Amino acid sequence: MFRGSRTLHAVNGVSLELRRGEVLGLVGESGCGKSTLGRMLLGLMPASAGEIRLEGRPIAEFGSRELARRVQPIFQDPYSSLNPRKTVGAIVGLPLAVHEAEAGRSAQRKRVQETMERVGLPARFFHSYPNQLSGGQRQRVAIARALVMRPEILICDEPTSALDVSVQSQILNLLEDTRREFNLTYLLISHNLAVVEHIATRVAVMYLGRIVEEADTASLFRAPRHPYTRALLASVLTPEPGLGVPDTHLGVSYPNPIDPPPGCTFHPRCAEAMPVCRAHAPAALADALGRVECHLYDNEVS
Amino acid sequence: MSALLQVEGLRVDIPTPMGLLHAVRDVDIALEAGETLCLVGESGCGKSLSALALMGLLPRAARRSASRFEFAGEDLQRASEGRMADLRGNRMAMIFQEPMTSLNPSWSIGNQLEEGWLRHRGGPAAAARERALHLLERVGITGAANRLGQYPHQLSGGLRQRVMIAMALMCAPALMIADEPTTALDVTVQAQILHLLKELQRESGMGLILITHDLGIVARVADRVAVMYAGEIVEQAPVEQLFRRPSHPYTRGLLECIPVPGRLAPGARLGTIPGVVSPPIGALQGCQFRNRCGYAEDACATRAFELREIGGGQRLRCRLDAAAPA
Repeated sequence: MFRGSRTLHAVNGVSLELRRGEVLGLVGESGCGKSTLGRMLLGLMPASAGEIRLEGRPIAEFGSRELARRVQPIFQDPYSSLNPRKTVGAIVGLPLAVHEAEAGRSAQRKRVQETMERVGLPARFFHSYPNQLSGGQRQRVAIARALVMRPEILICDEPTSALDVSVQSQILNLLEDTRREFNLTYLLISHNLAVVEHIATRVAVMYLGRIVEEADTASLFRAPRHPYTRALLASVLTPEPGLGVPDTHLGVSYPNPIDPPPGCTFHPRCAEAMPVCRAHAPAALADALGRVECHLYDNEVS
Repeated sequence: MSALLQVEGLRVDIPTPMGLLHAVRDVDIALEAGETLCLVGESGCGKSLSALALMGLLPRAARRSASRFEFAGEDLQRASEGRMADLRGNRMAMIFQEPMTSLNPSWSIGNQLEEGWLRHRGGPAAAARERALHLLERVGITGAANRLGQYPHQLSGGLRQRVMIAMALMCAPALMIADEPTTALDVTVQAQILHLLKELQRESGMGLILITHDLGIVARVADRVAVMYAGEIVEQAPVEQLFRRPSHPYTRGLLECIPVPGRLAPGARLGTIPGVVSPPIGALQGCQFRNRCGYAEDACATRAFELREIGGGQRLRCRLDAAAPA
């Protein structure tokens, strides 16, 4: 029953830059490490190697309080990310109670009410409990809680995946409005490429802990370079009747991340795999279009 | 040609502390062999309960009624529970959304696959095993022989859903009902599973009812579409017609809500449908969508609306006429 423990490299050799004011979409299949990366950026998990810097300073040097002031999360499931025994007012106000206890209760209450109003939560919900709210309203509570400290960066991990489509569009509009109003920077973790295309300015594609391609949204969707990106985009079912369901040619399923394939970890599923892909991991090619890790572009490196 | 499934006036009522919930009202479903019907709508619209009603798997408290309820020419309203058990898993099969909770964690994959076959077909266990192996391979599971001895927790979500599909196919059903079969899966796996379902349908000629909230899936998979809202079908049409000429304000609202790559300028606002669904509890009058509808008039609160033909096989439950083609 107890076999020796082995290390799972959930996030492996990732170099990523989040630029002020952008929406960076992080896409990939479940288990690719995108949520782990998000947790590390929130300071909830340390990196085993390497460094995460915020404005040039390693986040390890920030206290958890200071980091939480500047980086806030929005999680996928507003049914489990809100404390069912606290009122909406208490949930949204908790960061203030922690960080600005000296501000006084009435000032805190005013901030909570302003933030609730800003995200479209009627003031009458102040004394409501999460179970009295719909899924969309709960996600607004989660957004209000993230915004109440006026952070600079929001890590949004699948913020609309648990919601109905008509509610999803309201939340996406709200995220876009608040980003403009408060000059926020977003990391948007999502497996929904249509959502990413809609609000991200830049996209990073993750596969088995690596970022295999990175480019601005328009060029990534217009001319994807990595075969995995192409397969991902091909599997997006746009509402166009008559096109049928595409065959992604991905064949075998997602590998077990504890036992990644040798060479390029994508080669067993890649339609364009060459002998070199089985033996050597590709180096990153960075150019004006972005960054891609694939042997198809090797001659462009040399 | 006689339809595979012919249901008219389907109703499901569920008693709740707040009053009787009219969860499904006046739903007509006709399905030919080889045809795919998509039931689309948001949470609580009654699409899953409609499917459970078709299978005779409603919760005990729920009450089902219909003016017509025929499967392959047989009146299922008169079928005994024993007769239904003979049909389920045999002539009609269902795939559920969450494969982890619908597979038995303490039974091996092989035993779960074979159970239905042995129940319905009997015969030697070796024949059941052979069929199970064949289907696991057919649904794209590598190393099928080893998988038979494994348990659900040893499989990924995509593999579990493939096992569910293989299980539903064991007795070559004439009708397959799939309730959000890919909602819990990655987009790449989703495309593979749907591709597989359509391929299997082409081979076997089974009728497929696919329940989803995803209009992208509807467009790619359906022959005909029924849009449900608060327990009723509000619009129904052949798939091309529905996307070319969505006519119910709810259908149009839904289509404007979804981001489509390349359709909107970056940062442009998505459409929204204001308000929330009011659950159809108690005495109902008028159109249930009226409090969220931009076209509502006083009459919408009192008039009863029939699902009426508006041309080209399209039916609409609304005071408005067919919209101009998009």
